[in-house]
Amino acid sequence: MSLIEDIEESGWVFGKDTIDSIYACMQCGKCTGSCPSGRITGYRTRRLMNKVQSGDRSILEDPDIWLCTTCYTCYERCPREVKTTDVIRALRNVAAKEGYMSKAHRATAMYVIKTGHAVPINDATKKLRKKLGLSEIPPTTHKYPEALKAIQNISKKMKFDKLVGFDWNTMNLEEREEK
Amino acid sequence: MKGLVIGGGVAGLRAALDIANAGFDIYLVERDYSIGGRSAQITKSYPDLTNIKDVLKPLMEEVYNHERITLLTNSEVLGLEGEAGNFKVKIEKKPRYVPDGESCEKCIEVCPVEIPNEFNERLDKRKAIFVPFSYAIPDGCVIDETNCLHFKDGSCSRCKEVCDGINFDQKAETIEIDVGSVVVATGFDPFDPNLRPELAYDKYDGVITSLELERILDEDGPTGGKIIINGKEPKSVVFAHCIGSRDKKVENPYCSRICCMYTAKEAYMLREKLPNAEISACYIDMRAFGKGCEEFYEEVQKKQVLYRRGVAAEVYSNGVNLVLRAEDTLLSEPYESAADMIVLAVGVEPKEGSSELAENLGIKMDEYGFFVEKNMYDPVETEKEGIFLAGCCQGPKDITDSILQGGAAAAKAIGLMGRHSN
Ligand SMILES: Cc1cc2nc3c(=O)[nH]c(=O)nc-3n(C[C@H](O)[C@H](O)[C@H](O)COP(=O)(O)OP(=O)(O)OC[C@H]3O[C@@H](n4cnc5c(N)ncnc54)[C@H](O)[C@@H]3O)c2cc1C
Ligand code: SF4
Ligand code: SF4
Ligand code: SF4
Ligand code: SF4
Repeated sequence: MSLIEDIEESGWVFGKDTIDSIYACMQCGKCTGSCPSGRITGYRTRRLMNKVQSGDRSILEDPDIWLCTTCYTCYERCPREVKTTDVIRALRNVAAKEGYMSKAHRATAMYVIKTGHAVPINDATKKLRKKLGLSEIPPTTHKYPEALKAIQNISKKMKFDKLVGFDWNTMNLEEREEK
Repeated sequence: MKGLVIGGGVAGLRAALDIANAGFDIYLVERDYSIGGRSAQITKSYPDLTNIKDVLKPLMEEVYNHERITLLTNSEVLGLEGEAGNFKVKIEKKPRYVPDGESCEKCIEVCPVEIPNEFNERLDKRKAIFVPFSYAIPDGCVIDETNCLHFKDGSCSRCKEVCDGINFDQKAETIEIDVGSVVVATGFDPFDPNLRPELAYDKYDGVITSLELERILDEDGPTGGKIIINGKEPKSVVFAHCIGSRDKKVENPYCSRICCMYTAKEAYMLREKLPNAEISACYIDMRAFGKGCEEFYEEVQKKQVLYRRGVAAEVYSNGVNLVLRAEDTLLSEPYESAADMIVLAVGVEPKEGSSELAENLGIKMDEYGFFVEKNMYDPVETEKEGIFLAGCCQGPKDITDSILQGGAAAAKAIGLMGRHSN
């Protein structure tokens, strides 16, 4: 399958039209110039779009694809209405399936499986909640262990745990050779 | 048989003259106080730097003095009935309140009302009684009744005290004319850059439109031809191409065709006035397809105008300078240009009021609001027989192409009226 077809399949939730919008990219650079991540990293949105357009599979292993903050600025500004950010998100699905996933994103996934939260509660947040007159523990998986169980079951059924390399014994990430 | 031309820009002027010279009487209806259109706001034209006034002024005078042309300024078409060869057209003719040619300008001195001057793209002020621009035709003063205190609440008549010719009692009249053909040449408006807020047009005085720069470059303009931004001469200038064109986000996916070249021209003229400034332009693709245009582009580059491929992404201020951020797409690197002046090459949009006119005439508009030609082989005809199109009202084009189309529409109108006269 071509790269675009892979992205369409992995990004089915966005719809084929969204992914196919990539063909309309005219390489103007509005996205790169607007990208907050590109201000501090070597990530170049337009170059990524160019590689997707030309079906260059080497981008799957390019760590740059994980540097987008999904802020949607480029998506908002693109004069050709390329659905940039959604393409990037779907592209990451393909990369993850092929075993490429940034450590930071794996860690976030680990927290979701372990706690039900990408960003679990900490002492500072607890204190802040109390100060605001809220219950110390929010009414989420933190409060309802059965909800956390449900999330963990979903993770297993969807093989999300395998995808990110979650070790149920250590409740942590497996050591994985970073590809 | 008589003919009608709507709009007195270069396209309409050419059409009116050509039809009149073929022996038909012509009404030329212009909504503004003067004929000339947008070209009158421009100083020099690409690619040969022709002084526009040198060609436009004689054209305007020829129209005004032509015995077969009846000029109706400050006038609008209200409706049209009938068919080709036999249209009945209703026109509202609004008064000027001052006799044509009256221009001692004492009235202007005494008028207490000051409002932004549209001709100078609001960079300076004008009075409620004013001369539209230095070579306006008809010449002399007019009263803009929407801003005049006499018409607002009767509290003023100072101009009348210094000028007996002024007559506040003039009334708008509706006239009906019989014509065989109609040429529509109502032109364009520039894109409103506020629709791209990341370019901060509204926020900083140093961010201006290309049409504002045309006025600033003009010796007759608001700064007397001096390049002054925020009280001083800019040391660095960046031109931003494709603002409001090639942009689906603002529903203008089309290329405006003129802005690559008028930007090159403005950069050239700016270089003559600012020999030491840094001047650059950021563009997506360079479209220099007209006769002599590629050569002119090269000439501009040689004047040390730096062209960087990649559209302007955003503009902000760092407290000292304006900063334009963009990607240099050939280097695959974002960059930031400090600039005292950022010129937005605004695109061409349909003239305000186009949909009312289309409805009044029974002609079609495309999805953007430009009038639609019959087909690509009949590019000046509309689906309605006897109504023809010329200039930017049909789509973006430069002066030469507008004039060409004015001539072509005239030929069609002459042919049609000739057939119906026999
Ligand atoms: C910044 C800038 C720089 C440019 N520089 C150049 C250049 O260097 N060289 C070049 O070739 N071109 C240049 N152009 C393009 C040029 O301005 C146009 O090609 C030209 O003005 C088009 O002429 P027109 O007659 O079609 O329309 P316009 O000039 O817009 O004239 C239309 C006329 O119709 C009148 N009108 C509108 N609606 C009605 C109505 N409902 N009823 C009656 N009258 C109406 C208007 O008042 C106006 O007088 C430039 C444009 C811009 C914005
Ligand atoms: S802004 Fe849109 S059209 Fe321009 S380079 Fe980026 S994705 Fe392509
Ligand atoms: S969505 Fe991603 S690529 Fe687009 S501007 Fe934001 S960080 Fe950059
Ligand atoms: S009557 Fe109107 S135009 Fe005349 S001076 Fe007063 S405000 Fe100005
Ligand atoms: S003429 Fe040039 S600046 Fe204008 S819209 Fe076309 S490409 Fe952009």
